[in-house]
Amino acid sequence: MSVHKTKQFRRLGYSVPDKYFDLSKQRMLNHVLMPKQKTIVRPLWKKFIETAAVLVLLLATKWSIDTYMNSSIYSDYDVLLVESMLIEEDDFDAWFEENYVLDVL
Amino acid sequence: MVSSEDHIEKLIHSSKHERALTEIAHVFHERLYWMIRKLVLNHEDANDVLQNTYVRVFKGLPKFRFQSSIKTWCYRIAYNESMRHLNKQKKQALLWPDGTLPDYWSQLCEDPYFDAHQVDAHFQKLLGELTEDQRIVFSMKYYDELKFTEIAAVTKRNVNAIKTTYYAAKKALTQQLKIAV
Repeated sequence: MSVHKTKQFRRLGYSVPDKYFDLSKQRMLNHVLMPKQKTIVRPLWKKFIETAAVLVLLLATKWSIDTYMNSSIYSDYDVLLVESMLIEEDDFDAWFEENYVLDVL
Repeated sequence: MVSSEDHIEKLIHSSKHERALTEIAHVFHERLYWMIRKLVLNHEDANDVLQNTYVRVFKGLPKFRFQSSIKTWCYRIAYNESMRHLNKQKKQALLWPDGTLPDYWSQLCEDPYFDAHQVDAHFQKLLGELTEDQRIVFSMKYYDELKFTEIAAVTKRNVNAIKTTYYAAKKALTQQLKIAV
């Protein structure tokens, strides 16, 4: 670009920041040519295996918690307590003897 | 003596693409900037478009087939990048309240790197009255000093169409200037 042409652009009102051409040339070249840091891309199958392992672990945890809850909270005794609410007062002694005294004890 | 373009072509031939790009920047940096600037008008936009141009030039160097001169090829990439930028800008403008871009003169005045006091304001306003096609062809011929064949290669248009557009632009400008005088 000749000085004449640059002056023509200036006359048309266009301007650029100070030392723009020197600085921008190097900056742009650096941007294009500088080696970028490699990002490690893990293979898809590895991610799939990891996700599957986490899912299995979660399911196993849930299953063991459920098993524990069933065995501890819903004991025979608790079932009997719930059932006892539905028994009429007159029939209670017979029911109690049959279900608790004879079966459980 | 080996010209700059010959030197660049030799570097491309020997697959020294990084050195070729550095040489391209050394020879064409300022010229490409001004061509882009006259298309996109705003300095910041011109800066971004020029950066993208270098990225595309570097990616394209291994595929360069020497079917045109390196100068025409670089100008073509810069032109395409500018057009891509302008189209994107037009699409974004559709989302604005009035759905249109500001006119040529308003866009120039919005740029902090445009001095409306220093400018030959009348001539810039006349340029703004040309069609976009006429303005692009006129700028490439008059300011960038490209040949008609080069402009045709850069814009991928027929040489005769370029000549017609240039003369129409020149005629319109001359008439307007005569009226002003």
